[in-house]
Amino acid sequence: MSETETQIPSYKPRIVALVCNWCTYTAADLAGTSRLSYPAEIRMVRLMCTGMIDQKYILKAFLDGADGVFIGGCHPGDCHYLDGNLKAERRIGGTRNLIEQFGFYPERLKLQWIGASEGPEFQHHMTEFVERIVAMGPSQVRDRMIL
Amino acid sequence: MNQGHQGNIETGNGNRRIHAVIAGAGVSGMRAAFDLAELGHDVVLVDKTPYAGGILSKLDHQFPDNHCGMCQILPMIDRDKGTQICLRKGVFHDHITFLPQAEILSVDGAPGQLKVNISKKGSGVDHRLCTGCGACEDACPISVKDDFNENYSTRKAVYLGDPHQNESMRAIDFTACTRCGACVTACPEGAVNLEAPDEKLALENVGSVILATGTGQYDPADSDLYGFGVLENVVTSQGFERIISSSGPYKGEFLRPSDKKPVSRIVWIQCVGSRNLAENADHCSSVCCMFALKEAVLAREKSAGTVKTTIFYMDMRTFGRDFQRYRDEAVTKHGVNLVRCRVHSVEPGENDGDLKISYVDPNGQYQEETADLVVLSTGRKHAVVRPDFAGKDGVFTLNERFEFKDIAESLIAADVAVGKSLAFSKKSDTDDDNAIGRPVSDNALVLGSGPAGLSAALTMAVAGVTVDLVEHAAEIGGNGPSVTTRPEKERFEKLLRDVSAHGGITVHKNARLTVHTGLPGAYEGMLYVGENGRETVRPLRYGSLILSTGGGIMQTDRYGAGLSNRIVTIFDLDKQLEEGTLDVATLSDVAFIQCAGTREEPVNYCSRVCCAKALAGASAILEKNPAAKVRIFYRDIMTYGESEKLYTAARRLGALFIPFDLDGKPEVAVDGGTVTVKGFDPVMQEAVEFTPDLLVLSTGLAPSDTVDLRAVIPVSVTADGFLKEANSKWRPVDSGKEGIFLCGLGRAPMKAGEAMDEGAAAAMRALRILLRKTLPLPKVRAVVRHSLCSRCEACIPECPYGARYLDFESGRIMVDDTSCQGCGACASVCPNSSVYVGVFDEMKVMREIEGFL
Repeated sequence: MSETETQIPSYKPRIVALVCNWCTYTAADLAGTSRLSYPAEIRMVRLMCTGMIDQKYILKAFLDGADGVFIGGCHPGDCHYLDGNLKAERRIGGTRNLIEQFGFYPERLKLQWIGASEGPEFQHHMTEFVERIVAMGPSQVRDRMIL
Repeated sequence: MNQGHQGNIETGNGNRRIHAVIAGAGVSGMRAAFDLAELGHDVVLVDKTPYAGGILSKLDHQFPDNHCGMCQILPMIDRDKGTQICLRKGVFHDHITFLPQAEILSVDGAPGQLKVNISKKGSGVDHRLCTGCGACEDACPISVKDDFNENYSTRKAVYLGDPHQNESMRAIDFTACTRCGACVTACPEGAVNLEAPDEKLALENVGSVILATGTGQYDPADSDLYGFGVLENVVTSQGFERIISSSGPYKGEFLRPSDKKPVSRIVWIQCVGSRNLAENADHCSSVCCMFALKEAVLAREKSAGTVKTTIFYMDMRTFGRDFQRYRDEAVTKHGVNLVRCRVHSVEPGENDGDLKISYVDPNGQYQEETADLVVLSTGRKHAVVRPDFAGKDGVFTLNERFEFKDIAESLIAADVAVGKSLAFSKKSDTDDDNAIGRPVSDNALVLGSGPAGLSAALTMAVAGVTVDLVEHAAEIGGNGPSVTTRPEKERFEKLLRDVSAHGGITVHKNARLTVHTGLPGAYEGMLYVGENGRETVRPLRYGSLILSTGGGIMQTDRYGAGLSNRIVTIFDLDKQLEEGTLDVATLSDVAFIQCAGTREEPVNYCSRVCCAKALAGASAILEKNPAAKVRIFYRDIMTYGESEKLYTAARRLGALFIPFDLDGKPEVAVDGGTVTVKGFDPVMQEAVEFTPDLLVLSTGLAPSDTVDLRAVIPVSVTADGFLKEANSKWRPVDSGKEGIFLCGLGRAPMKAGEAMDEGAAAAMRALRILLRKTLPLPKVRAVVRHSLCSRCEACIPECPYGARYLDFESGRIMVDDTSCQGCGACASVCPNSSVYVGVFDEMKVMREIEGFL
């Protein structure tokens, strides 16, 4: 085995992205058509609005072994449903505390506003998040927890 | 989902009849198309460019809140007929056939049976086969300047017109293409055809044509004033929008075009191509002041306050309801620097790429400033050639005078045209009306009978629904009888006659609404009528409600108002001049004070009407009595659009204009019969003091008090008491609660003509519901599982559309399917998971997550 491989364990994080249909999903689309590559570890779930994200979805993802959960919505004020993104922000603040109680680092959950025309931003935030999760290593809690 | 293909259009012989052909797929064209599509009418939408969206597709943020939100104009009723997706991707709706790269050639025949000939350029790519892989673009050896990015980047000869667009909508630019065939070979689907001929389409039996072709932007290369076209870092406002855009030439990095160095100092120059008599441009382009402010604010925000921004302006025309506060915030919160002056010239600076701006500051001192980027706020084109069929019967032109309009005004103009097109209605035999859903009442209720209310009532009555028009005063008309401007006065008088004569409109005077309940399409209410000492209560049923509650003259106690009969309001003067009761010959010294009590907290908005009235009044006085001295104290003269001509006329007649700011307001003293005005004239750099025979105060407009009404109807108001719309840009006449619409002076300060237009627009929005027999059930909507619901009511306040309510009869939480837009806010707060939203059922989402991990 080479030295680099022993120093950095080869691990592909599993990341769930819950994104809103109107802005972040369109930005992902734009990143695609603009040929901007972003890590393949992201598995995207399209929802109509970040406001429909139930805390259960986030917990479910972590308990099923996700190493990170990324939530992408419209910038405040841009929400197609007026303020769904702000409701999400409020709720996700609480969810961070909740997942910490479950034993997950709250940094594994990220909320980011990405507008429909922000393809490069989508690429940037996705890459950054994956780097963050890789640096944190795989989620350990799943192995230790008896459910 | 008819995208760009002839095969999908029936030419009028089948069961699909084309209600309208709409030229121009900008924001107003799209709005017209969606309004008609919501009614179940088939429309054909054509655009010269390969994409929909017009100018707005190039802008990421719009004033006055810097938000995006084009998706807000998507149909809200019968959503399943269209795609719920960002409008930048394209226009997708069962009732809309979008033809890119197409133009109307000719229109013949009578309205209702128009023959419309359309030419459509061959795109070279078969969109039915294209998968959007982009192999053609990689293979193409040709590189040309990208006009979408205002030529600051390059694209291939086969390209996506708008980078946000659906990726299978590529087209070939045949003016650049060399027919080398590389793309044909590269395409794995065989979708490219370099011989694609232009298509000609002949549509028959078309109801009407709506021209939403907008206007052009002035090309600053026409005048070599500020070096555009020579100095690379001098850009137009649209060029700037692309430069700061993430999808723009520099991928969101803030660089200047000449050497791609980071930008740190930006200067905006206003009124380029507008308000310029030397170029015969005696008009204001209306929106440039706001978009310059917006661009400056964006530059400050994007650079975290490190970029220095200066706007050189003549008058900062923030005449929209919320615009003055936006301007104040731009200065106080964001640190945008505003300088009132006309810039003399822009020259190359000392360092390569830098620009030197020389000007004379408000104190008369010569100044120089260096910038990385100069943005020219280019106005509208001076003249646009109109097609020869524009004046034909059955052809409705949205923007007859080719003015620049902001988003809300464009949408209102679209709704007005759509309302007119209903006279030549062509409905296809679709299943729209047979959809399972709630039946709709075809009666409408209008509260308030001023110009806006009358216009709304008449528009709906003409479209075939019955209208109850309610007025709390003893006579209908509101502020209409005091209108003095032409042609608005004649227009209002005709409107009043038509409403009185129309059998479908029932007028209730001395009446007010005391109960309002029910759901959109089927409201019930109680009308209290107090006439001649008799009080009666009448029940009403109505499908939609329009609030045109109006307003009146703002009262003020500033500048000696009410202390002398020599001090009058602008509205008094207007009336006296109209009636001829003012003895102009005896006046030797007249003063006007603009913004008397407005455009500063707590009444921080522009009333839109006062400047034009004051200038017309000043001109009327000077025309009859040229010896009189007329001084106008002003902050910013708000003569937007064509009313700029009033400003020019008053200046020519010799009126003196003295600017002031909030720190240096003129002072008025009243001593017996003498009124003394003191001020400071910055042009002469000296104090002025004089005793006018007449002092005219522009006190402005205020909305009616709606406290009692709001106890009955669920609408909210702004800080200034104006009825608040769902979205000031994208849904200007919607209340936010489906079925209730707003218009007129009660919503925002406006001129009578604008109020009548807005009334017609609100009526059109209401007709979307009223002209349907039933309201269909959309697929993605919230559904309550009553067996799991514990009636905690947490979902009720969470709904942004007010669609949820507790039904007292059944004791259950119910959802109004028409108002519900399927956002799922209710589902995520429900502690019992008793709510599911169409296909976004909780279990399905859970399984999707499970499947990924």
